[in-house]
Amino acid sequence: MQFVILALPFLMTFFVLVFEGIFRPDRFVFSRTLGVVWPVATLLVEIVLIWQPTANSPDGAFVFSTLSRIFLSFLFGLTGVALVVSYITGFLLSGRFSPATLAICGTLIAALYISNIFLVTLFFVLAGFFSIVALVDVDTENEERFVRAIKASVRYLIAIVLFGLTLFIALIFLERLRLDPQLSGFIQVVVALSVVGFSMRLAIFPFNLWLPDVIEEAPGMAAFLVVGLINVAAVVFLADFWQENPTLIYDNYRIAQPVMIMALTGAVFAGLMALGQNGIGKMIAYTVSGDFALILFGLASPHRTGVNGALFEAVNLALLQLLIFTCLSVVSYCSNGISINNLTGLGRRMPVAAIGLLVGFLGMVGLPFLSGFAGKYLLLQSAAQEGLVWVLAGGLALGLFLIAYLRYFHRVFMGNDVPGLKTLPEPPTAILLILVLVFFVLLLGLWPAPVLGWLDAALRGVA
Amino acid sequence: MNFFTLDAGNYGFFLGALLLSLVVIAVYKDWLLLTPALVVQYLVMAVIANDLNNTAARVMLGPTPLAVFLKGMSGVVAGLILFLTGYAILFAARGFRREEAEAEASGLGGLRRFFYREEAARLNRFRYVDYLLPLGAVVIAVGATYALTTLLPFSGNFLGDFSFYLLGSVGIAIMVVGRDILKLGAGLLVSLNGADLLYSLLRNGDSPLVLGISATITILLALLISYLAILYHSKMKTLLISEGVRRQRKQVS
Repeated sequence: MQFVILALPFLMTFFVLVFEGIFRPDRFVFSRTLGVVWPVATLLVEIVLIWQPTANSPDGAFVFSTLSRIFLSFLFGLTGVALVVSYITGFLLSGRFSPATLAICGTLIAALYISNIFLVTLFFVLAGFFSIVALVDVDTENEERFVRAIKASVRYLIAIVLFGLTLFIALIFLERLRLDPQLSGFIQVVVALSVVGFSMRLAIFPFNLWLPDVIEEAPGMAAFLVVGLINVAAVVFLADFWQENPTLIYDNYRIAQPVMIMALTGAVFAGLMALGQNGIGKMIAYTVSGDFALILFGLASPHRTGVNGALFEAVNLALLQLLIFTCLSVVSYCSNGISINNLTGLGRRMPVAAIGLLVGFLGMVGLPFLSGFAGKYLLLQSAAQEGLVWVLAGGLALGLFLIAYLRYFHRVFMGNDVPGLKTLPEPPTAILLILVLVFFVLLLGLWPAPVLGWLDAALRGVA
Repeated sequence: MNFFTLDAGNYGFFLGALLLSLVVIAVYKDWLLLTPALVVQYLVMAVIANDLNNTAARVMLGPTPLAVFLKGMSGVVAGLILFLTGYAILFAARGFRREEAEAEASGLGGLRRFFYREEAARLNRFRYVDYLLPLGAVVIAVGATYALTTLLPFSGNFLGDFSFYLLGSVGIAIMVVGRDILKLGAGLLVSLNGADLLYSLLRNGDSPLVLGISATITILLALLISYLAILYHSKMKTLLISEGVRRQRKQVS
C-alpha cells in the first residue's frame, strides 16, 4: 500500500511524459484532453488511498497525520480544478504542465507521508524543482517575458535551495539537541534557521524577493502551483513540526515573541510594498507574502485561536489563489495574451472574471461572509490577546491589502474601455468553474464551523 | 596509501585541493576548468566527510562507505551534466558563428549583424574586473570562514567546521558575484555540498535513504540548471541574465 501511494504519481508522470512525447498535445486534441484526464484521475485515486486505514505503516515509517490527510485531499481537489482551467485556457499545449503538476503532487505526498524529517526537507526542495519546469513554460516568441520568466525562475531556484539548506541544518541541530538536551542554546539556532528557511519558502518579507517576478511573469496556473499548492503544504509541515516539537516555540514564549513580531512586521511591510507596485502580479505577490506572514504569526502564537486561524487561513489562501489565478488566466486567454497591466475597463467585456476576481480580492482581505473572514478574525483575536498594538498592526496590514486590491481592480476592470481591443468571450466551462469557486468562497464564509472543527480536531491529534 | 583516511601526509593535499577547486569555480568562466573543479571538490568533500563521520553504524558498499560513494558519484554525474551543457552551448555558438560567417560571405551581413558582432566583442572582451571581483569575494569568504570557525565552532573538529563554513560562504559568494546561469548553479551546488558535510558531521548513523535522496537532489539540481541554461541560450544566445534584460530594455526604449 505504501509503495502504491508513493510511486503512483511518479509512474503516472513518466507515463504522461511518454504519452505526450508520442502524441504531442500541440498536434493531437485527444492528447491535450488526456493530459487533464490522467492527472485528475491519478489525484482522485490518491485521495482515496490517502484515507485508507492501512495507509499508515505499523512501524511508523509512513504516517499521514489527520491534518496532512485533510490538506492533501483539499489541495489535490484544487489542483484538479487548476488542470481543467489550464486545459480551457490553452496552457497544456507544450505538454509540460501536466507531468510537472503530477510530479509536484507526488513529492508533496512523500513529504507529508514519510516520517524521516530529513527526507521531508529534501522532498520539498524537489517539489520546488518540478515547479520550475512549469514556471518557464512560457511563449518564447515574447522575448521580454521569456527573459523575465527565466530570471524569476533562477531567483526562485536559489530561494528553494537556500530554504532546503537552512531547514536541513536546523534539523541536524535539532537531532543533536535531542541526543543531548543540555545543549539548550541550540533551540534558538533551530528556531532561527527554521523560521528563515520557511520565510524563504513562503516568501515572507524580507525574504520575498523571488515571488513578485514569479507571479508577474509565470503562467497563471504555474504560479498557483507555487503559492497555492507547495507553500500551503509547507505550512502544514511547519504546523506539524512545531506541534511535535513544542519546546521550540509553544513552550518558549521568549523565542516565540520575536518570530511573531517579525511576522506581523513582515505583513505590514508587504502591505506597504503592495501599494507601490506597477503590475497586478507583483501586487498580488506582496499581498500573498503578507498573508503568509499572518499565517506564520498565527502558527507561532501561543494561543489556540492563532494556530486554528493560521490553518483556516491556509485553506482560504489556497482556495482564493485558485480563484484569482483562474480569473487572471481567463482574462489573459480572452484578451489573446495581452498583458493585463496594459488593459482597462475589462469589467464589461469579462463580467464573470471580474466578479470572481473581486470576490477573490475581498476574500483575501477577510471581508465578512467570505471565506477569508473566519481565519483573519481568529488571527486578529490571537493578536488582540497579545495587546492592542499587535491587533492594530494586523488590522493595518489588512487595510493596506484592501487599498492595493481595490486600486488595481478599479484600474483594470472599472476604467474606460481600450478602443479597438478585440477580446474573446469567456469560455462557458471557465464561467462555470469560477462560479463554483465563488460558491465555495461564500459557503466557507457563511459556514466555516465544520472546517474549523476538523482542523481543530486534527491539530489535537498531532499535539 | 588509504585515500579515504586523512593523515598528516595527505591533510594538506586535500585542504589545498578543496581551496583550489573553490577558487577555480568562483573565478573562472571556462567550462573546461570549472566542471572538473566541481568534481574534484565533491570528491575531496567525500573523503573529508568520511573521515569526520564518527558514527558507529556505517553503511558500506563493499570496501567503500556508502556516503563516500554516493557523494563522489553525484559530484561526477553533476559535473558531467554541466560539462555536457557547456559543451552543447559552445557547439551551438560555433554553429551560430558559422552561419553568420556564411551570411557575411554571401553579402547578407548588414548593419544589424555588424552591431551584433560589436556587442558580442564587447561582452567577450577580457576585463580584469571579471576576475578580480570573484577573487575578492573568495578572499572575503575565506576570511569570514576563519572568523566563524574560531568564533562559532560547533562540531568540536576544526577541519569539519572550517570546511562547512567555507563551502557555505564561498557558495553564497559565487551566487552574489556570478552573472550567468551556470555559475549561479555552481554556487548552489557548492552550498548544497556544505549541508551534506554537516549531515556527516553531526548526525549519528548513516541513513541510506537520506544519502540517496540528497545525491538525487544534487543530480536533479544540475539537470535543472542545465535545462534553464540551454533554454535561455537557445533563445537569447547568451547565458548572462542581466545581458538579456538589458537587451530587452534597449529594444523597448
